[in-house]
Amino acid sequence: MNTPPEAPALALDGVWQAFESNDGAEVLALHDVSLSVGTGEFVSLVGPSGCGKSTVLRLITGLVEPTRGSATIHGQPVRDHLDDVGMVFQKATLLHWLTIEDNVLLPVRVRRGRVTAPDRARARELLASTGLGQFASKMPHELSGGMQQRAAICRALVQDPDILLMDEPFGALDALTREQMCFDLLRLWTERRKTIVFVTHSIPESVLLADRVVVMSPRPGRIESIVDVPLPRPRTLDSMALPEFQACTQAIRRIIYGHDAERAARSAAL
Amino acid sequence: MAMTPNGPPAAPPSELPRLLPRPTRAARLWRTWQGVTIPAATLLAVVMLWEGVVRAFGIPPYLLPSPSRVVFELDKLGLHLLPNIGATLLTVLAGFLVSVLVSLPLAVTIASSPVVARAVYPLLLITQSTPIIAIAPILVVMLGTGQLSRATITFLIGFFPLLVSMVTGLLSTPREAVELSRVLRTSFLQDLWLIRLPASVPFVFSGLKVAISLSVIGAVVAEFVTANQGLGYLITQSTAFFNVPLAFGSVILLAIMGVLLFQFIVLIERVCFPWAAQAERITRE
Repeated sequence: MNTPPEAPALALDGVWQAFESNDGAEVLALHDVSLSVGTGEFVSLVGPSGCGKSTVLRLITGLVEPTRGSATIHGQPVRDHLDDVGMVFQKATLLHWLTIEDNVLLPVRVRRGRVTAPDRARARELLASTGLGQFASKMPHELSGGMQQRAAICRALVQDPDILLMDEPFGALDALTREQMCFDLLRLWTERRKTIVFVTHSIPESVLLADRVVVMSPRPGRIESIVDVPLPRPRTLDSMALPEFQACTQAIRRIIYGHDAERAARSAAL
Repeated sequence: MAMTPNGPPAAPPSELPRLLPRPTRAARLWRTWQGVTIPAATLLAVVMLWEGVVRAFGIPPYLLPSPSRVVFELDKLGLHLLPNIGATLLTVLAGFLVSVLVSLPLAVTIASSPVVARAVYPLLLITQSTPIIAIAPILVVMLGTGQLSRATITFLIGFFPLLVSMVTGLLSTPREAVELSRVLRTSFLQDLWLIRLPASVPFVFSGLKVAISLSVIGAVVAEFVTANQGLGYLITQSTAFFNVPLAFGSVILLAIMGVLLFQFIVLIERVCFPWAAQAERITRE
Protein backbone atom coordinates (compact mmCIF):
# COMPACT_ATOMS: atom_id res chain seq x y z
CA MET A 1 0.00 0.00 0.00
CA ASN A 2 1.45 3.38 -0.92
CA THR A 3 1.09 5.16 2.36
CA PRO A 4 2.24 8.76 2.65
CA PRO A 5 5.27 8.50 4.92
CA GLU A 6 4.06 10.99 7.49
CA ALA A 7 0.40 9.91 7.67
CA PRO A 8 -0.60 8.81 11.18
CA ALA A 9 -2.19 5.38 11.62
CA LEU A 10 -5.46 7.10 12.29
CA ALA A 11 -6.60 10.66 12.58
CA LEU A 12 -9.73 12.61 13.43
CA ASP A 13 -9.59 16.12 12.08
CA GLY A 14 -12.02 18.73 13.37
CA VAL A 15 -14.83 16.18 13.80
CA TRP A 16 -18.28 17.38 14.78
CA GLN A 17 -20.85 14.67 15.24
CA ALA A 18 -24.55 15.40 15.53
CA PHE A 19 -27.41 12.93 15.92
CA GLU A 20 -31.11 13.42 15.63
CA SER A 21 -32.95 12.20 18.70
CA ASN A 22 -36.37 10.55 18.45
CA ASP A 23 -38.25 13.84 18.93
CA GLY A 24 -36.27 15.41 16.07
CA ALA A 25 -34.01 17.53 18.29
CA GLU A 26 -30.32 17.68 17.41
CA VAL A 27 -27.88 16.17 19.89
CA LEU A 28 -24.23 17.10 19.62
CA ALA A 29 -22.14 14.01 20.41
CA LEU A 30 -18.71 15.36 19.46
CA HIS A 31 -17.56 18.97 19.50
CA ASP A 32 -14.57 19.73 17.27
CA VAL A 33 -12.54 16.62 18.09
CA SER A 34 -9.06 16.33 16.59
CA LEU A 35 -6.84 13.40 17.46
CA SER A 36 -3.95 11.73 15.71
CA VAL A 37 -2.60 8.30 16.68
CA GLY A 38 0.78 7.11 15.40
CA THR A 39 1.49 3.62 14.09
CA GLY A 40 2.07 1.21 16.96
CA GLU A 41 0.91 3.71 19.54
CA PHE A 42 -1.29 2.76 22.50
CA VAL A 43 -3.84 5.47 23.28
CA SER A 44 -6.48 5.35 26.02
CA LEU A 45 -9.70 7.34 26.02
CA VAL A 46 -11.15 8.13 29.45
CA GLY A 47 -14.04 10.23 30.53
CA PRO A 48 -17.46 10.03 32.13
CA SER A 49 -20.45 8.44 30.38
CA GLY A 50 -21.78 10.40 27.44
CA CYS A 51 -18.46 12.03 26.57
CA GLY A 52 -18.46 10.48 23.10
CA LYS A 53 -15.74 7.86 23.64
CA SER A 54 -17.76 5.18 21.90
CA THR A 55 -18.69 7.59 19.11
CA VAL A 56 -15.00 8.10 18.42
CA LEU A 57 -14.59 4.34 17.97
CA ARG A 58 -17.68 4.14 15.77
CA LEU A 59 -16.19 6.87 13.57
CA ILE A 60 -12.97 4.87 13.15
CA THR A 61 -14.87 1.68 12.28
CA GLY A 62 -16.84 3.67 9.73
CA LEU A 63 -20.16 2.81 11.37
CA VAL A 64 -20.94 6.54 11.49
CA GLU A 65 -19.77 9.26 9.11
CA PRO A 66 -18.58 12.50 10.68
CA THR A 67 -21.17 15.25 10.33
CA ARG A 68 -18.31 17.70 9.82
CA GLY A 69 -14.57 17.10 9.63
CA SER A 70 -12.83 13.88 8.60
CA ALA A 71 -11.79 10.51 9.95
CA THR A 72 -8.82 8.91 8.19
CA ILE A 73 -6.72 5.77 8.44
CA HIS A 74 -3.21 6.06 6.98
CA GLY A 75 -4.32 9.34 5.46
CA GLN A 76 -7.25 7.84 3.56
CA PRO A 77 -10.97 7.75 4.38
CA VAL A 78 -11.82 5.02 6.90
CA ARG A 79 -14.13 3.18 4.50
CA ASP A 80 -11.08 2.21 2.37
CA HIS A 81 -9.48 0.50 5.36
CA LEU A 82 -12.30 -1.49 6.94
CA ASP A 83 -10.22 -4.68 7.16
CA ASP A 84 -7.42 -2.80 8.91
CA VAL A 85 -9.57 -2.34 12.00
CA GLY A 86 -10.44 -4.96 14.62
CA MET A 87 -13.01 -4.23 17.31
CA VAL A 88 -13.46 -5.60 20.83
CA PHE A 89 -16.65 -4.81 22.75
CA GLN A 90 -17.39 -4.60 26.45
CA LYS A 91 -19.14 -7.95 26.30
CA ALA A 92 -17.31 -10.78 24.58
CA THR A 93 -20.33 -11.19 22.25
CA LEU A 94 -19.35 -14.70 21.20
CA LEU A 95 -22.04 -16.47 19.23
CA HIS A 96 -23.10 -19.23 21.60
CA TRP A 97 -23.91 -21.69 18.82
CA LEU A 98 -20.36 -21.68 17.44
CA THR A 99 -17.22 -23.19 18.93
CA ILE A 100 -14.53 -20.82 20.14
CA GLU A 101 -12.52 -21.48 16.98
CA ASP A 102 -15.48 -20.78 14.69
CA ASN A 103 -16.22 -17.62 16.65
CA VAL A 104 -12.66 -16.45 16.10
CA LEU A 105 -13.04 -17.22 12.38
CA LEU A 106 -16.34 -15.34 12.03
CA PRO A 107 -14.76 -12.25 10.39
CA VAL A 108 -13.03 -14.48 7.82
CA ARG A 109 -16.29 -16.24 7.07
CA VAL A 110 -18.08 -12.94 6.59
CA ARG A 111 -15.34 -11.41 4.44
CA ARG A 112 -14.51 -14.38 2.20
CA GLY A 113 -17.54 -16.64 2.50
CA ARG A 114 -15.53 -19.70 3.49
CA VAL A 115 -12.80 -20.75 5.85
CA THR A 116 -9.66 -22.54 4.61
CA ALA A 117 -7.24 -24.80 6.46
CA PRO A 118 -4.60 -22.03 6.77
CA ASP A 119 -7.29 -19.80 8.35
CA ARG A 120 -7.99 -22.50 10.91
CA ALA A 121 -4.31 -22.90 11.63
CA ARG A 122 -3.98 -19.15 12.18
CA ALA A 123 -6.99 -19.09 14.50
CA ARG A 124 -5.54 -21.95 16.54
CA GLU A 125 -2.18 -20.24 16.71
CA LEU A 126 -3.86 -17.03 17.93
CA LEU A 127 -5.84 -18.93 20.55
CA ALA A 128 -2.72 -20.73 21.71
CA SER A 129 -0.86 -17.42 22.07
CA THR A 130 -3.58 -16.17 24.44
CA GLY A 131 -3.59 -19.37 26.47
CA LEU A 132 -6.78 -20.76 24.93
CA GLY A 133 -5.07 -23.53 22.95
CA GLN A 134 -7.06 -26.41 24.46
CA PHE A 135 -10.35 -24.51 24.29
CA ALA A 136 -10.63 -24.12 20.50
CA SER A 137 -13.39 -26.71 20.16
CA LYS A 138 -15.27 -25.73 23.34
CA MET A 139 -18.51 -23.79 23.32
CA PRO A 140 -18.44 -20.22 24.69
CA HIS A 141 -20.51 -21.01 27.81
CA GLU A 142 -17.83 -23.48 28.91
CA LEU A 143 -15.33 -20.62 29.30
CA SER A 144 -14.96 -18.05 32.09
CA GLY A 145 -15.64 -14.37 31.38
CA GLY A 146 -11.96 -13.55 31.03
CA MET A 147 -11.38 -16.44 28.64
CA GLN A 148 -14.39 -15.39 26.56
CA GLN A 149 -12.97 -11.89 26.28
CA ARG A 150 -9.60 -13.34 25.19
CA ALA A 151 -11.42 -15.24 22.47
CA ALA A 152 -13.12 -12.00 21.43
CA ILE A 153 -9.69 -10.35 21.17
CA CYS A 154 -8.52 -13.26 19.00
CA ARG A 155 -11.56 -12.70 16.78
CA ALA A 156 -10.62 -9.04 16.40
CA LEU A 157 -7.06 -10.04 15.47
CA VAL A 158 -7.83 -12.92 13.10
CA GLN A 159 -7.61 -10.77 9.97
CA ASP A 160 -4.37 -9.27 11.31
CA PRO A 161 -5.58 -5.65 11.33
CA ASP A 162 -3.14 -2.78 12.01
CA ILE A 163 -5.54 -1.11 14.37
CA LEU A 164 -7.31 -2.58 17.37
CA LEU A 165 -10.23 -0.67 18.87
CA MET A 166 -11.34 -1.70 22.35
CA ASP A 167 -14.54 -0.36 23.88
CA GLU A 168 -14.24 -0.93 27.64
CA PRO A 169 -13.13 -4.49 26.92
CA PHE A 170 -12.47 -5.42 30.54
CA GLY A 171 -15.39 -3.49 32.04
CA ALA A 172 -17.50 -6.60 32.61
CA LEU A 173 -14.72 -8.62 34.26
CA ASP A 174 -13.93 -8.98 37.96
CA ALA A 175 -11.07 -6.85 39.31
CA LEU A 176 -8.47 -9.65 39.49
CA THR A 177 -9.13 -10.93 35.98
CA ARG A 178 -9.13 -7.35 34.80
CA GLU A 179 -5.57 -6.67 35.99
CA GLN A 180 -4.39 -9.95 34.54
CA MET A 181 -6.00 -9.07 31.19
CA CYS A 182 -4.23 -5.70 31.17
CA PHE A 183 -0.82 -7.32 31.40
CA ASP A 184 -1.76 -9.94 28.82
CA LEU A 185 -2.89 -7.18 26.48
CA LEU A 186 0.41 -5.34 26.98
CA ARG A 187 2.31 -8.52 26.10
CA LEU A 188 0.18 -9.01 23.00
CA TRP A 189 0.75 -5.40 21.98
CA THR A 190 4.51 -5.76 22.46
CA GLU A 191 4.58 -8.92 20.36
CA ARG A 192 2.34 -7.76 17.53
CA ARG A 193 2.79 -3.99 17.54
CA LYS A 194 -0.77 -2.98 16.82
CA THR A 195 -2.06 0.54 17.05
CA ILE A 196 -4.54 0.37 19.92
CA VAL A 197 -7.28 2.78 20.92
CA PHE A 198 -8.59 1.68 24.29
CA VAL A 199 -11.74 3.16 25.81
CA THR A 200 -12.15 2.78 29.57
CA HIS A 201 -13.79 4.21 32.66
CA SER A 202 -10.82 3.31 34.81
CA ILE A 203 -8.13 5.97 35.18
CA PRO A 204 -5.45 3.61 36.59
CA GLU A 205 -6.11 1.16 33.76
CA SER A 206 -5.77 3.89 31.15
CA VAL A 207 -2.45 5.05 32.60
CA LEU A 208 -1.04 1.56 33.07
CA LEU A 209 -1.66 0.66 29.43
CA ALA A 210 -1.24 3.74 27.30
CA ASP A 211 1.43 5.98 25.85
CA ARG A 212 -1.05 8.84 25.90
CA VAL A 213 -4.34 9.25 27.73
CA VAL A 214 -7.03 11.30 25.99
CA VAL A 215 -9.33 12.82 28.61
CA MET A 216 -12.78 13.61 27.30
CA SER A 217 -15.66 15.54 28.84
CA PRO A 218 -19.37 15.29 28.15
CA ARG A 219 -22.23 17.41 26.79
CA PRO A 220 -21.02 18.00 24.16
CA GLY A 221 -18.28 15.36 23.93
CA ARG A 222 -14.89 16.95 23.42
CA ILE A 223 -11.23 16.38 24.18
CA GLU A 224 -10.43 18.11 27.45
CA SER A 225 -6.75 17.28 27.53
CA ILE A 226 -4.18 14.76 26.33
CA VAL A 227 -1.83 13.46 29.02
CA ASP A 228 1.51 11.84 28.15
CA VAL A 229 2.40 8.82 30.28
CA PRO A 230 6.15 8.82 30.98
CA LEU A 231 6.19 5.32 32.54
CA PRO A 232 8.95 3.08 31.18
CA ARG A 233 8.14 -0.05 29.16
CA PRO A 234 7.65 -2.92 29.66
CA ARG A 235 5.10 -2.15 32.32
CA THR A 236 4.54 -4.50 35.23
CA LEU A 237 2.70 -4.58 38.54
CA ASP A 238 5.59 -2.48 39.95
CA SER A 239 4.86 0.28 37.43
CA MET A 240 1.78 1.14 39.45
CA ALA A 241 3.95 1.88 42.49
CA LEU A 242 6.05 4.48 40.64
CA PRO A 243 5.53 8.17 41.52
CA GLU A 244 5.01 8.93 37.79
CA PHE A 245 2.01 6.59 37.84
CA GLN A 246 0.48 8.40 40.81
CA ALA A 247 1.23 11.78 39.24
CA CYS A 248 -0.46 10.79 36.00
CA THR A 249 -3.62 9.36 37.55
CA GLN A 250 -3.83 12.36 39.85
CA ALA A 251 -3.47 14.80 36.95
CA ILE A 252 -6.24 13.02 35.02
CA ARG A 253 -8.52 12.95 38.07
CA ARG A 254 -8.02 16.67 38.51
CA ILE A 255 -8.90 17.30 34.87
CA ILE A 256 -12.11 15.27 35.10
CA TYR A 257 -13.36 16.28 38.54
CA GLY A 258 -11.95 19.80 38.54
CA HIS A 259 -13.89 20.44 35.40
CA ASP A 260 -17.08 19.06 36.94
CA ALA A 261 -16.59 21.11 40.09
CA GLU A 262 -16.11 24.23 38.01
CA ARG A 263 -19.30 23.56 36.09
CA ALA A 264 -21.25 22.86 39.28
CA ALA A 265 -20.04 26.12 40.77
CA ARG A 266 -21.00 27.99 37.61
CA SER A 267 -24.52 26.53 37.44
CA ALA A 268 -25.00 27.19 41.17
CA ALA A 269 -24.09 30.82 40.61
CA LEU A 270 -26.70 31.20 37.86
CA MET B 1 7.70 -9.85 38.15
CA ALA B 2 6.57 -13.38 37.34
CA MET B 3 3.05 -13.56 36.03
CA THR B 4 1.07 -16.71 36.62
CA PRO B 5 -0.82 -17.87 33.53
CA ASN B 6 -4.52 -17.28 33.88
CA GLY B 7 -5.43 -20.92 33.22
CA PRO B 8 -7.27 -23.31 35.53
CA PRO B 9 -5.59 -23.73 38.93
CA ALA B 10 -3.40 -26.77 39.48
CA ALA B 11 -5.66 -29.79 40.01
CA PRO B 12 -5.60 -31.38 43.47
CA PRO B 13 -3.99 -34.86 43.53
CA SER B 14 -6.31 -37.26 41.73
CA GLU B 15 -6.10 -40.01 44.39
CA LEU B 16 -8.04 -38.26 47.16
CA PRO B 17 -10.09 -40.63 49.35
CA ARG B 18 -13.84 -40.28 48.89
CA LEU B 19 -15.46 -38.45 51.81
CA LEU B 20 -19.13 -39.17 51.12
CA PRO B 21 -20.61 -42.69 51.42
CA ARG B 22 -20.98 -44.33 48.01
CA PRO B 23 -24.60 -44.35 46.76
CA THR B 24 -26.27 -47.75 46.86
CA ARG B 25 -27.21 -49.49 43.63
CA ALA B 26 -30.91 -48.88 44.32
CA ALA B 27 -30.30 -45.19 44.90
CA ARG B 28 -28.47 -44.92 41.59
CA LEU B 29 -31.24 -46.76 39.70
CA TRP B 30 -33.85 -44.50 41.31
CA ARG B 31 -31.91 -41.37 40.37
CA THR B 32 -31.57 -42.52 36.75
CA TRP B 33 -35.15 -43.61 36.20
CA GLN B 34 -37.27 -41.40 38.43
CA GLY B 35 -38.00 -39.12 35.43
CA VAL B 36 -39.85 -42.07 33.89
CA THR B 37 -41.14 -44.04 36.86
CA ILE B 38 -42.91 -41.19 38.68
CA PRO B 39 -45.03 -40.02 35.70
CA ALA B 40 -45.78 -43.62 34.74
CA ALA B 41 -46.93 -44.44 38.27
CA THR B 42 -49.19 -41.35 38.38
CA LEU B 43 -50.75 -42.29 35.06
CA LEU B 44 -51.35 -45.86 36.17
CA ALA B 45 -52.92 -44.65 39.42
CA VAL B 46 -55.33 -42.34 37.57
CA VAL B 47 -56.40 -45.12 35.16
CA MET B 48 -56.94 -47.55 38.05
CA LEU B 49 -58.93 -44.98 40.03
CA TRP B 50 -61.09 -44.29 36.95
CA GLU B 51 -61.71 -48.02 36.39
CA GLY B 52 -62.50 -48.54 40.07
CA VAL B 53 -64.94 -45.62 40.31
CA VAL B 54 -66.83 -46.68 37.15
CA ARG B 55 -67.16 -50.26 38.42
CA ALA B 56 -67.97 -49.36 42.05
CA PHE B 57 -70.79 -46.98 41.15
CA GLY B 58 -71.98 -48.90 38.10
CA ILE B 59 -71.79 -45.87 35.82
CA PRO B 60 -73.27 -46.73 32.40
CA PRO B 61 -70.77 -46.63 29.48
CA TYR B 62 -72.72 -43.92 27.55
CA LEU B 63 -72.06 -41.54 30.47
CA LEU B 64 -68.52 -42.53 31.46
CA PRO B 65 -66.97 -45.68 29.98
CA SER B 66 -64.31 -47.46 31.98
CA PRO B 67 -60.78 -47.60 30.53
CA SER B 68 -61.17 -51.32 29.85
CA ARG B 69 -64.38 -50.63 27.91
CA VAL B 70 -62.58 -47.93 25.86
CA VAL B 71 -59.79 -50.34 25.00
CA PHE B 72 -62.38 -53.00 24.12
CA GLU B 73 -64.15 -50.65 21.67
CA LEU B 74 -60.88 -49.56 20.07
CA ASP B 75 -59.84 -53.20 19.76
CA LYS B 76 -63.14 -53.98 18.00
CA LEU B 77 -62.17 -51.53 15.24
CA GLY B 78 -58.67 -52.99 15.19
CA LEU B 79 -56.83 -52.32 11.96
CA HIS B 80 -59.65 -50.06 10.77
CA LEU B 81 -58.24 -47.48 13.16
CA LEU B 82 -55.07 -47.12 11.11
CA PRO B 83 -56.51 -45.25 8.09
CA ASN B 84 -58.30 -42.92 10.54
CA ILE B 85 -55.12 -42.20 12.47
CA GLY B 86 -53.25 -41.78 9.18
CA ALA B 87 -55.82 -39.32 7.80
CA THR B 88 -55.64 -37.12 10.91
CA LEU B 89 -51.84 -37.31 11.02
CA LEU B 90 -51.69 -36.27 7.37
CA THR B 91 -53.89 -33.23 8.03
CA VAL B 92 -51.84 -32.26 11.10
CA LEU B 93 -48.53 -32.53 9.27
CA ALA B 94 -49.76 -30.78 6.11
CA GLY B 95 -51.14 -27.85 8.11
CA PHE B 96 -48.04 -27.70 10.28
CA LEU B 97 -45.66 -27.81 7.32
CA VAL B 98 -47.52 -25.03 5.53
CA SER B 99 -47.42 -23.00 8.79
CA VAL B 100 -43.63 -23.34 8.89
CA LEU B 101 -43.18 -22.58 5.18
CA VAL B 102 -45.39 -19.48 5.38
CA SER B 103 -44.18 -18.19 8.78
CA LEU B 104 -40.44 -18.25 8.14
CA PRO B 105 -40.22 -15.91 5.11
CA LEU B 106 -43.04 -13.77 6.51
CA ALA B 107 -41.25 -13.46 9.85
CA VAL B 108 -37.98 -12.50 8.14
CA THR B 109 -39.78 -9.83 6.10
CA ILE B 110 -41.63 -8.43 9.11
CA ALA B 111 -38.50 -8.42 11.26
CA SER B 112 -36.35 -6.68 8.67
CA SER B 113 -38.77 -3.91 7.72
CA PRO B 114 -40.81 -1.82 10.17
CA VAL B 115 -42.91 -0.62 7.21
CA VAL B 116 -43.91 -4.17 6.26
CA ALA B 117 -44.49 -4.96 9.93
CA ARG B 118 -46.91 -2.04 10.29
CA ALA B 119 -48.65 -2.98 7.05
CA VAL B 120 -49.05 -6.69 7.77
CA TYR B 121 -49.80 -6.74 11.48
CA PRO B 122 -53.44 -5.52 11.30
CA LEU B 123 -54.21 -8.17 8.69
CA LEU B 124 -52.65 -10.86 10.85
CA LEU B 125 -54.52 -9.65 13.91
CA ILE B 126 -57.81 -9.77 12.03
CA THR B 127 -57.23 -13.34 10.82
CA GLN B 128 -56.24 -14.27 14.33
CA SER B 129 -59.16 -12.60 16.07
CA THR B 130 -61.62 -14.31 13.76
CA PRO B 131 -62.71 -17.63 15.28
CA ILE B 132 -61.41 -20.08 12.69
CA ILE B 133 -64.15 -22.55 13.58
CA ALA B 134 -66.66 -19.91 12.45
CA ILE B 135 -65.13 -19.53 9.01
CA ALA B 136 -64.38 -23.23 8.62
CA PRO B 137 -67.74 -24.00 6.92
CA ILE B 138 -67.18 -21.04 4.58
CA LEU B 139 -63.73 -22.35 3.72
CA VAL B 140 -65.27 -25.72 2.87
CA VAL B 141 -67.66 -24.00 0.45
CA MET B 142 -64.73 -22.13 -1.11
CA LEU B 143 -62.14 -24.90 -1.19
CA GLY B 144 -64.27 -28.03 -1.41
CA THR B 145 -64.67 -30.93 0.98
CA GLY B 146 -61.21 -32.41 0.45
CA GLN B 147 -57.81 -32.39 2.09
CA LEU B 148 -57.15 -28.82 0.93
CA SER B 149 -59.88 -27.43 3.21
CA ARG B 150 -58.69 -29.44 6.18
CA ALA B 151 -55.04 -28.45 5.71
CA THR B 152 -56.05 -24.78 5.32
CA ILE B 153 -58.11 -24.79 8.52
CA THR B 154 -55.23 -26.48 10.39
CA PHE B 155 -52.77 -23.94 9.00
CA LEU B 156 -54.95 -20.98 9.99
CA ILE B 157 -55.17 -22.25 13.57
CA GLY B 158 -51.49 -23.14 13.93
CA PHE B 159 -49.42 -20.54 12.13
CA PHE B 160 -49.95 -17.35 14.13
CA PRO B 161 -48.14 -18.29 17.35
CA LEU B 162 -45.31 -19.66 15.22
CA LEU B 163 -45.05 -16.42 13.27
CA VAL B 164 -45.09 -14.35 16.44
CA SER B 165 -42.32 -16.35 18.10
CA MET B 166 -40.22 -16.27 14.94
CA VAL B 167 -40.53 -12.48 14.68
CA THR B 168 -39.80 -12.12 18.40
CA GLY B 169 -36.77 -14.36 18.00
CA LEU B 170 -35.41 -12.41 15.04
CA LEU B 171 -35.95 -9.08 16.80
CA SER B 172 -34.43 -10.19 20.09
CA THR B 173 -30.95 -10.74 18.72
CA PRO B 174 -28.70 -9.31 21.47
CA ARG B 175 -27.78 -5.68 20.81
CA GLU B 176 -24.07 -6.52 20.96
CA ALA B 177 -24.46 -9.24 18.34
CA VAL B 178 -26.20 -6.73 16.06
CA GLU B 179 -23.33 -4.29 16.60
CA LEU B 180 -20.80 -7.04 15.88
CA SER B 181 -22.63 -7.87 12.69
CA ARG B 182 -22.48 -4.22 11.63
CA VAL B 183 -18.78 -3.89 12.44
CA LEU B 184 -18.08 -7.02 10.38
CA ARG B 185 -20.07 -5.48 7.51
CA THR B 186 -22.26 -8.55 7.00
CA SER B 187 -24.60 -8.54 4.02
CA PHE B 188 -28.34 -8.92 4.66
CA LEU B 189 -28.20 -12.66 4.00
CA GLN B 190 -25.01 -13.19 6.05
CA ASP B 191 -26.55 -11.29 8.95
CA LEU B 192 -29.65 -13.46 8.69
CA TRP B 193 -27.88 -16.77 8.20
CA LEU B 194 -24.89 -16.36 10.52
CA ILE B 195 -26.42 -14.31 13.32
CA ARG B 196 -30.16 -13.59 13.39
CA LEU B 197 -31.55 -17.01 12.46
CA PRO B 198 -29.31 -19.02 14.82
CA ALA B 199 -30.02 -16.49 17.59
CA SER B 200 -33.75 -17.01 17.07
CA VAL B 201 -33.68 -20.83 17.13
CA PRO B 202 -34.82 -21.20 20.77
CA PHE B 203 -37.78 -18.89 20.04
CA VAL B 204 -38.58 -20.73 16.82
CA PHE B 205 -38.72 -24.03 18.67
CA SER B 206 -41.03 -22.76 21.38
CA GLY B 207 -43.22 -21.54 18.51
CA LEU B 208 -42.99 -24.93 16.78
CA LYS B 209 -44.06 -26.69 19.98
CA VAL B 210 -47.15 -24.50 20.29
CA ALA B 211 -47.87 -24.82 16.57
CA ILE B 212 -47.74 -28.63 16.51
CA SER B 213 -50.17 -28.83 19.43
CA LEU B 214 -52.50 -26.32 17.78
CA SER B 215 -52.24 -28.24 14.50
CA VAL B 216 -53.71 -31.32 16.19
CA ILE B 217 -56.59 -29.17 17.43
CA GLY B 218 -56.91 -27.62 13.97
CA ALA B 219 -57.07 -31.03 12.29
CA VAL B 220 -59.88 -32.16 14.61
CA VAL B 221 -61.82 -28.94 14.00
CA ALA B 222 -61.39 -29.50 10.26
CA GLU B 223 -62.61 -33.07 10.56
CA PHE B 224 -65.64 -31.98 12.55
CA VAL B 225 -66.56 -29.76 9.63
CA THR B 226 -65.70 -31.94 6.68
CA ALA B 227 -64.29 -35.46 6.62
CA ASN B 228 -65.16 -39.03 5.79
CA GLN B 229 -62.44 -40.50 7.96
CA GLY B 230 -60.03 -39.48 10.70
CA LEU B 231 -60.12 -39.44 14.50
CA GLY B 232 -62.22 -36.23 14.60
CA TYR B 233 -64.65 -37.88 12.20
CA LEU B 234 -64.75 -40.98 14.45
CA ILE B 235 -65.72 -38.77 17.40
CA THR B 236 -68.64 -37.10 15.60
CA GLN B 237 -69.84 -40.44 14.17
CA SER B 238 -69.58 -42.44 17.39
CA THR B 239 -71.26 -39.81 19.56
CA ALA B 240 -74.08 -39.60 17.01
CA PHE B 241 -74.70 -43.29 17.74
CA PHE B 242 -74.08 -42.95 21.51
CA ASN B 243 -70.92 -45.03 21.21
CA VAL B 244 -69.22 -42.91 23.90
CA PRO B 245 -66.45 -45.47 24.60
CA LEU B 246 -65.23 -45.19 20.99
CA ALA B 247 -65.36 -41.35 21.20
CA PHE B 248 -63.25 -41.56 24.35
CA GLY B 249 -60.85 -43.90 22.60
CA SER B 250 -60.46 -41.48 19.70
CA VAL B 251 -59.79 -38.62 22.11
CA ILE B 252 -57.13 -40.68 23.86
CA LEU B 253 -55.51 -41.55 20.53
CA LEU B 254 -55.51 -37.84 19.64
CA ALA B 255 -53.86 -36.99 22.95
CA ILE B 256 -51.19 -39.64 22.38
CA MET B 257 -50.61 -38.30 18.87
CA GLY B 258 -50.24 -34.75 20.25
CA VAL B 259 -47.75 -35.82 22.90
CA LEU B 260 -45.67 -37.85 20.43
CA LEU B 261 -45.54 -35.03 17.89
CA PHE B 262 -44.56 -32.57 20.62
CA GLN B 263 -41.82 -34.89 21.84
CA PHE B 264 -40.66 -35.31 18.25
CA ILE B 265 -40.09 -31.53 18.01
CA VAL B 266 -38.26 -31.60 21.34
CA LEU B 267 -36.09 -34.42 20.02
CA ILE B 268 -35.25 -32.55 16.81
CA GLU B 269 -34.20 -29.54 18.85
CA ARG B 270 -32.03 -31.62 21.17
CA VAL B 271 -30.32 -33.44 18.32
CA CYS B 272 -29.89 -30.65 15.77
CA PHE B 273 -29.56 -27.60 18.05
CA PRO B 274 -28.23 -28.79 21.42
CA TRP B 275 -27.05 -25.25 22.27
CA ALA B 276 -30.58 -23.92 21.72
CA ALA B 277 -32.14 -26.53 24.01
CA GLN B 278 -29.52 -25.57 26.56
CA ALA B 279 -30.19 -21.83 26.20
CA GLU B 280 -33.88 -22.53 26.78
CA ARG B 281 -33.12 -24.54 29.91
CA ILE B 282 -30.94 -21.72 31.24
CA THR B 283 -33.57 -19.02 30.65
CA ARG B 284 -36.22 -21.22 32.27
CA GLU B 285 -34.10 -21.54 35.40
